[in-house]
Amino acid sequence: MLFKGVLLISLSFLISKSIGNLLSIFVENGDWLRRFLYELTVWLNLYIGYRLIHQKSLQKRFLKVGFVLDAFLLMVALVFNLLPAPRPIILHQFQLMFRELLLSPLYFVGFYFFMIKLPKSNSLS
Amino acid sequence: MNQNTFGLDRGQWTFLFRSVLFIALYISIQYSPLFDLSNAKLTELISHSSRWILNNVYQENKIIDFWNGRRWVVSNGHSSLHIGSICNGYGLIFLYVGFICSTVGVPLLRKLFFAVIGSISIFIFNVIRIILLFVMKNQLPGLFDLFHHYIFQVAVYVLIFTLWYYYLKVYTNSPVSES
Repeated sequence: MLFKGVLLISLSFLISKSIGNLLSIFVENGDWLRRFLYELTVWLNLYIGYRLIHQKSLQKRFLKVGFVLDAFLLMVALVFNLLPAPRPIILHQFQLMFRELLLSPLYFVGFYFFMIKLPKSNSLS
Repeated sequence: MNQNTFGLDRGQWTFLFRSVLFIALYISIQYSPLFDLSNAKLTELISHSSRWILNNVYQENKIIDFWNGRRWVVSNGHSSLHIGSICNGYGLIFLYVGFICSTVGVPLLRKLFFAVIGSISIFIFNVIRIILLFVMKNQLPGLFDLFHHYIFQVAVYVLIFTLWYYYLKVYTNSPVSES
């Protein structure tokens, strides 16, 4: 599951980044198209993760957390674009951080380790 | 906190709490004067290591300090490669170590071992990346962007995931207390 997920999400990440880069170079308003493409890729990645996780309860949780993170990414991007220049760098950093998390296999792998692989600690001090 | 709040056990809550602390630490460090210094030192180390290997295995290169250690340029006279502070893998090392420090139920010695070995691996990977990018810029300039922006990014993620996987592998089915 982990191997398949990393492979498929990495592929979608590579394809979307390549197309996104071409869009910005060749198409007018390519930046907005690229953002839309990245959003579609985030949904595709969430779908891939959803299909690969076997447990029903974990599937739902994977989607829920993914959509919350995506909504947060959109909100930060919106606020960043509405603000007049000079825009705060921290918002740009947040935007990059969340986009990277959802576009790359990081979210899927993080979720996998967090929910499935993390040792159950019964006696934490 | 209850044992099963939102279906997460105490260990998972501790992991989340530590992760948030690490993200806050990462962001606040970027605004401290220490960050500039340590980041520049890491960039310098990576640039000099890459140049030393390139000189020994590929061709003679010069190295130029471009901006008080924040940006280095490796050049052979015909083409050059700029190594900036965002290319030094600082964020990736922080992400990797942050995950390891956030986990609970893993002995401290194992945490230390994986944190050190992993950080060194990411550093070595970065040096190899810069060497290959320099060679690629000379031999296959058409592939430079593809490898720079995409292939190496995915490759370093795979390296980090593999290290995390082996870090947690032994502990998946056996509950261990924090030492």
